[in-house]
Amino acid sequence: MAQVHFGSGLQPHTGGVERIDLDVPRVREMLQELAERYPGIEVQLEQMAVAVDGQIYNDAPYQKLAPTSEVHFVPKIGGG
Amino acid sequence: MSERKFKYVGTRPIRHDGVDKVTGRANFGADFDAPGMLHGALLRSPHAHARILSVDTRAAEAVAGVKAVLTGQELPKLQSMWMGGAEGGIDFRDIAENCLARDKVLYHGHAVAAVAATTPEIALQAARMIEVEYEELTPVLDLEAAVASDAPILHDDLQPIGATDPLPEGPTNIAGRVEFSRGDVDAGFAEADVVVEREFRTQMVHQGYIEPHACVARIGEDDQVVVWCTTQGGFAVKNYSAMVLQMDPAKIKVISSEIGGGFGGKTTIYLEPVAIALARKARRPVKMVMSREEVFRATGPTSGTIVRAELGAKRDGTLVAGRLSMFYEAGAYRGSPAGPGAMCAFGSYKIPNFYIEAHDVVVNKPKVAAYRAPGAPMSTFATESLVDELARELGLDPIEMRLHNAVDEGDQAPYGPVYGPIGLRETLEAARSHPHYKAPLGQNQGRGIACGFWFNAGMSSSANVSLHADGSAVVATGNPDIGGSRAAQAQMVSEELGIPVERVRPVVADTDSVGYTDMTGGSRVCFATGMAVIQASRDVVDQLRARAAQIWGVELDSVAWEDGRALPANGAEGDHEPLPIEELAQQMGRTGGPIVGKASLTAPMAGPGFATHLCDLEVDPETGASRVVRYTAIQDAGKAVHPGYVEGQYQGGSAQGIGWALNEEYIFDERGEMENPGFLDYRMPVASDLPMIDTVIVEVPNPLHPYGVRGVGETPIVPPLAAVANAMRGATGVRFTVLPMSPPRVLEAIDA
Amino acid sequence: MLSIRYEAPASVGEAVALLDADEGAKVIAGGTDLLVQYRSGLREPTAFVDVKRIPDLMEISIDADGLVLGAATPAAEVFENTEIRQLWPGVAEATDLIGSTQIQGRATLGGNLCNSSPAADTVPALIAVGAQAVIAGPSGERELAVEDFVTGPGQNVLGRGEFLVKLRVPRPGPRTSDAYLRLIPRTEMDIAVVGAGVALTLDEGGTCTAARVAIGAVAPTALLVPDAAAALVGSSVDDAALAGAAQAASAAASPIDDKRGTVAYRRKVTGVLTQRAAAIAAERARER
Ligand SMILES: Cc1cc2nc3c(=O)[nH]c(=O)nc-3n(C[C@H](O)[C@H](O)[C@H](O)COP(=O)(O)OP(=O)(O)OC[C@H]3O[C@@H](n4cnc5c(N)ncnc54)[C@H](O)[C@@H]3O)c2cc1C
Repeated sequence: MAQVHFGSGLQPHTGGVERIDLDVPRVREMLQELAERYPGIEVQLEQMAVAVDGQIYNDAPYQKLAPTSEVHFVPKIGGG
Repeated sequence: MSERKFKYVGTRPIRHDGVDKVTGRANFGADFDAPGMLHGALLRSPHAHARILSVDTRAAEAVAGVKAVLTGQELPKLQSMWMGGAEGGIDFRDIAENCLARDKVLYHGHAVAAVAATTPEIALQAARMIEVEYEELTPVLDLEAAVASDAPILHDDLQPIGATDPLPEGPTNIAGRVEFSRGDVDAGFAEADVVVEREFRTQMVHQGYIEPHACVARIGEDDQVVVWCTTQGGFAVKNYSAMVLQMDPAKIKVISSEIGGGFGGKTTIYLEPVAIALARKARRPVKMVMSREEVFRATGPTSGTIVRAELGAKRDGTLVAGRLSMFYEAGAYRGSPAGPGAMCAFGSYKIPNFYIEAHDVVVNKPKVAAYRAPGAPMSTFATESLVDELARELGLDPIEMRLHNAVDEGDQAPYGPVYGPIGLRETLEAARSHPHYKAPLGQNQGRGIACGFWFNAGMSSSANVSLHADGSAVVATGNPDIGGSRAAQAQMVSEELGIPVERVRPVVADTDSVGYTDMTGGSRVCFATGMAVIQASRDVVDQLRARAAQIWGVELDSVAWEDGRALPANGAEGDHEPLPIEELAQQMGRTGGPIVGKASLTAPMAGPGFATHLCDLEVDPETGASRVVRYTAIQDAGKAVHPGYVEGQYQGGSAQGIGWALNEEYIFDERGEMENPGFLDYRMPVASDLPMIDTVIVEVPNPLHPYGVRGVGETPIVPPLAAVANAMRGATGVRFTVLPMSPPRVLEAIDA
Repeated sequence: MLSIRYEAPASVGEAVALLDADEGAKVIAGGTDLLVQYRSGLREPTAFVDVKRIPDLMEISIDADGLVLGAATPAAEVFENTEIRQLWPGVAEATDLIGSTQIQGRATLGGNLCNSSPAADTVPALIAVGAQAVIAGPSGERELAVEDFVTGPGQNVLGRGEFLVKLRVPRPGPRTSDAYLRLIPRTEMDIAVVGAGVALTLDEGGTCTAARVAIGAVAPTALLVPDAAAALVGSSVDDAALAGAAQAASAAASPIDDKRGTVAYRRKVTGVLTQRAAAIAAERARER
């Protein structure tokens, strides 16, 4: 199952949960699942990029998640 | 990948756009004129914070030569819609109201109304005749005033975004907050043998690109709009302008000019929607060019900051705990780079326990825009200064201290994910063995060292590679060339096709001529657009192989491509004479038609770039004046496609960072008017201020890129603030926590 | 203001007539101040009276009495003149500090003085060497000391129809020399935060017999500081005398707090630069 990590900024929305394991095929399903579990979190997550196994995607709902994938949420980055 | 032998990549050809640029022939933003063109001018707010009660344009309209007058009320009223994105993201309502204020002016210089007239002088004169009635409000000019409980509020409807837990209820100037933590911070500090704590401050600074913003907008009888402008991204100008004007984006074509620097400052729009709206009203092309003063007052510098920082270490130098509380000025609208500042602050070190919070705060100053590694230089100034203090207190060599704590592949980044292959350690080792590090210091000199980290944005890119009948090629992408990207792209095409770089013509295409491409920014072009170029080139090679297979009457896999020639392979060796690209190109018409390779992709963001900088500074103890006497920038480039332009990036970023550290700052009077809106008093370094900046390119390949390329453009501005401050500490014995370290400030501290 | 007349008189008299006839007309020499001010909207003249075609304004001549320098001679020509560099090294180095190579091709000492900025670099250097300003006007020529020329920031003694024709600098006697130093945060393309010019004469025994000290950028106009000079005269320009001169110069400064520096900073640096310039001038004087 994919390991989904919540930084301390998101933990108020997860009731303090730091990590959950989800059986989801793609980023999109993961986001849906999280919105169901933690209503309101989707507003926060919309603003964030998703890091899957160290690679950061600003907007990639169809990115596949492997059973061993590690997922983090990070602020979106562009640059100068 | 590391095995690959390169022929063109890693060489230093002269850039294709170089001669025109050094001879003055190249066309920059203000160089374009259209027949029948009018000139636009803006009326700007004399107040930093005021409500607009009325705007009377009659007098301006009556001036002979005036063809159109425009106020903010005439632009479509947009709903606020925050889109998380680069550097905090964007809200098109804010962008629109920053182009022309609607109900409120939020900084001195905020555009209020615009005029198009037959000459620039008439336009300016008429703009001054527009009568605006203001209700002045108390300006909010610094971070402490902005977050005070009784602060005047810039936006009544501002909803804080982000890690919302401790955000205030009710109207606020705090637009957002991010937070990162790991471990148990209090326990970490309890375990530390030494703890250092300081408050750091930096002022608003500008990118200082030499070319002011400029554009020409022309509208056809069919309402098709063409915009010529200087920008880091033609597609952004097209889409943003369409949003601001609520137009169909299909009606806007953007042709980007050569660009005289951007550094992030040309990733948004100021003039273009105004020029389009004026052109629409006047039914004539409209040109708008900012003065240097307007650039300073009303485009996007980067944030002034307050960073409260604390760092703890064991006696052996092991970092055990860190705490950062940061405040970033967003300027008039939300969207400071507080988030990336927080992500980068501890990016170089393994720190088991930390807590970082960063606030995005609106103030009555120009809305910030991206500036090279947005947010990272300020937070890194704090952490790298503290690492230096810890090394001093513990009696450790500053490089050894850093090596002892440096992140490696497999370590978790402070923002969560695990690092892939990275080169921080290699840059530190290169610094340790560099002659600079061992050179003796003279009297009143000090040496500073600092590390820094920035990402490498991926995002979307497209590329077309077209083969010509003579075997030469054209590569077209949608990225304005700021730092030599055309040369690098041509080198990649050369590498794949096997033709000389001079036979590849790199083109910056307009928004009608190439697939969607994100901006030139985020250190992404050589990395992401480069990947598209390589893929498109390989597409060409596959087609060339297919043509050879057709000519030889063999299967595709019996044709190899090497050194610009098709060779029989896979058992067919020796059966046919090699077919050079010139011959295959000449036969294109007969063998299936012209050959065009294409590729489009969205690249992930990764491959962080780390750097270590060494700075020697000499201080005149009687005047506080200082001089950088030696500077070395060492950085991991993954793979340097054009080492000369990679070095140029290292040097340029270092120079900007040194300016930021020593002399650059926005100075505001008590009413919020910038007092130094020109290069005389906004002191960027001039050439004679700096020594030749030495560079070392370290190459730890980025596995995400076929050649191992990492973005290099932004990281070089991250270490200098602390490198210079650490050198100043060495030279004077004083730890400077406030930038810039201008002569008066330095003398005051020395004499204290 | 949508068009400006351009006039290029060939004689002093013609120039006076043009200036007298039109109060909005401005003399233009190199234009490195005037055009910048015009473009930024600070000044909107009705006419530019270009004085570079008037032979008197373009002359450099050196004789037993000293130097006669046409007011519109470009800085580059002044600095390139080896005799000027030998006889008035402080004036030469102040000239060479203006802007950059490109700016010095246009900028003039006359313009530097007539622009009347408190921070003008050549003005303290000229005051230190006792330069005189020669002014032409409707009622003929008059001459006055450079330290009396500027009356306030951007203001000077020139009346309607008057303009600066030349500067006269007396020839230095034996063991006499000068020096000018300024502080800027950068190395060039900047404006003085403090400037100090010193000229002095030593006797054969190395005792200072005469001195003039002038400071810039620390008062509404460049100032002659007799107290600082007095601290040097009679001494061998030793550390104590230098410290005395520094103190007197600091005391004479009446700077303001602004974006370029604080009162305390400018005061202190006035002393530091005065001391350093005096030491350099003394060193040069010993060699002459
Ligand atoms: C990039 C740059 C850097 C600079 N750096 C320095 C510096 O380091 N130090 C410094 O001191 N200055 C500096 N300046 C200012 C300027 O270059 C000098 O003051 C210069 O000496 C002005 O000379 P000009 O001939 O160009 O004057 P102009 O611009 O032609 O004239 C200046 C003023 O004097 C008046 N004027 C000129 N000649 C006469 C005359 N003969 N009679 C009456 N009025 C006259 C004009 O009407 C005008 O008001 C700099 C300027 C620039 C643009």
